[in-house]
Amino acid sequence: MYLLPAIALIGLAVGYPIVHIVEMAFGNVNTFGTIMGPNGFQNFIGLWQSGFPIVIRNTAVWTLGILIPTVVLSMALAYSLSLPIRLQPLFRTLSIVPWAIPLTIVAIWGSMAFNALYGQVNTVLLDLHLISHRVGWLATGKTSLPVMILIGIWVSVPFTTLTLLGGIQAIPRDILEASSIDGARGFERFARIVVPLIRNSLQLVVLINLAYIFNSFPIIWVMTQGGPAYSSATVTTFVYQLAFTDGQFGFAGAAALLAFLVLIGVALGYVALYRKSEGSLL
Amino acid sequence: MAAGLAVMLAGCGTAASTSASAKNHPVTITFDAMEYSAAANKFFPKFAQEFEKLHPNIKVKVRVINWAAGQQVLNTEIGGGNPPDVAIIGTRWLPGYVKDGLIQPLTSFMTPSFAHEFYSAALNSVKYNGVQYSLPEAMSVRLLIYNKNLFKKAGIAGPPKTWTQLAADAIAIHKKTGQSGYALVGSQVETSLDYWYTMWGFGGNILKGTKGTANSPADVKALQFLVNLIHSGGTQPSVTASTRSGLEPVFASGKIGMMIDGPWLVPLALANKIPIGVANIPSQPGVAAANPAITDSFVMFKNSHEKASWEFAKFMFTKSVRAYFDKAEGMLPTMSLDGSEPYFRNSPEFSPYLKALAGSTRFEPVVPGFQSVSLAYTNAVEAAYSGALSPQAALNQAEPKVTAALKK
Repeated sequence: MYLLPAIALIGLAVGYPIVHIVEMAFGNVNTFGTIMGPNGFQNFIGLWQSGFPIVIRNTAVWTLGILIPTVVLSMALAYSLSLPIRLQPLFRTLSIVPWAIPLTIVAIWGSMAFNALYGQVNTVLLDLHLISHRVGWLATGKTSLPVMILIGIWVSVPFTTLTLLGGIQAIPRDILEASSIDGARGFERFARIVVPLIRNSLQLVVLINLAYIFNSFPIIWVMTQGGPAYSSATVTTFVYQLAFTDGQFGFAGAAALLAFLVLIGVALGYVALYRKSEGSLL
Repeated sequence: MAAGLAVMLAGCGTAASTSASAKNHPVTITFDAMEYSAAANKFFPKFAQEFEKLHPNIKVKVRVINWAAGQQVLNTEIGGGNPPDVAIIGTRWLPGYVKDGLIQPLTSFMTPSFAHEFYSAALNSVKYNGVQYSLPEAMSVRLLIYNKNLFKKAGIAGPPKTWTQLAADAIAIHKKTGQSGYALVGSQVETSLDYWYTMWGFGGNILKGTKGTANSPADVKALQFLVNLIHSGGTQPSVTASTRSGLEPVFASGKIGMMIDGPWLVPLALANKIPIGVANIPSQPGVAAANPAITDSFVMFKNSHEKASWEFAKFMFTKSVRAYFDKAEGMLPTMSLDGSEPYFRNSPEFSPYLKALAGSTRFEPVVPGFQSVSLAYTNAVEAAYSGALSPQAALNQAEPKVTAALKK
């Protein structure tokens, strides 16, 4: 009974947008966002013809391309930072710097650094004779997507590292000491003792990063706006472009609905998988 | 408690009687202005204040909106049942709003003497279906601006008259000076217009009646020409990452030989002491040359304060306001501004553009769905520039989209 106001509030804040997206996805929506009547599956057909297959591929590449390296790198970093090394506090502070910079500023810096005409990246590579002419990094999806993925990894690592570091520090000291008495050393100790013991933190960072990267907008929007011709667009930038640049609210609703279903499906599948293998976080 | 209530009631009574006793009913109108540059955030509210001084009964609420988000903001306001009373809009958006019954025709408000103050080309460019739905807010002609230093170093005598010559000059500039020859926009909304400059020069058209002609032989030839120009080093590198506003400072710093743009680029280059020339846009032999021109629209949305809105519209088209706006934003006068004419005629930035305006010009067609037409072109051209599709294949994909957009 006491929960009723909270449930009502959550229902309104979360439920209403979802219902509205479903309405839009199956509705005939005019340029002002008003639903004029039902439209069957027309929006989905239109969406498919507007280049959605490329966008799906890009989204998969973008999400996994950032998620996997981020988790691997953060594990290594978190473990290194947990070891009693000299200047440990300094390294810990340095590792969170990228996190403290707003994404938009990172993206503006990225688009300047990778600019073909005056970017520092081309200048340095030319000076080192690694390239023979200025490369248009952001001019095609083939090069801009990898560049933006690198930047995405750079900004995702700090949070992930901190969370994993927290997990490692929560491991009881006696377990680690016992393992080293038993002869666990270096990588073996890391793989056999540390990783299984921070399973919960790992689950958390994978799930949070997955949703966060999938929905990430500023880097791509600032650097390429998903162009040229959608070759670097992900579902998120594509939905925005459809709705607010092209005035295709129906297509945008259809794309948003599909993205929502995929993300919910992946999240539920992931949770189920971990429940099966004794994970206890969710 | 009771005393407090009495005071409150008394307060209400006073307020009510004051407003009732006021004989003039003050009205508030909203004005959605567009952010031409940062200065617009200051001068549009200033114009409104000056207007309020002259008309104490009319209050003007000014919203200065970023151009890139302009249509989105307007559509959201309209969708929420809260459209502005007067607004500056892209002329491309006009037919759609007219079709939705949102725009007040100005025919009954405009006196012949008021209409006479405008240049007729400017006034005609913002008509739709022959009806005057709007006033010409900001006009620009696009011309070929070239860097005389780079031309001299490359041994080129004067500006190119044909696109074939432009390509040869651009490649020569790149080979002899190491700088870029021709600035080609290949990213975001202005990609289509920048391609049309060439397409028109090859004799192509955007549409014929209500049918798109995106894949006509002249169109394909023009796009193939530009793709070849990219591959032969005649353009800046990374065309598909270049927007107009991104290229302007590069040209103004002397690193590009030629760029097609409006008057505002001239002072940017001159400020860096780059000697520049301004010439007509090239066209292929046998194709009639015409310089592209663009006008924005000042419109009145249908509303309940039509009289006040029209008063404000008239004020915004007085000579002092026009002269201030045109000078601040580098736009061509749309009205015969007697007092400031010499300023425009004598300035290096405006004079070639004013001369071009007197010659042969070409405005974008004012048809419904033009925004989608432009988008279809932008996607096709970006795909061809980046090598994802051949020019023919890209334009074949665009053609049905253009025709469908025109039918909507």
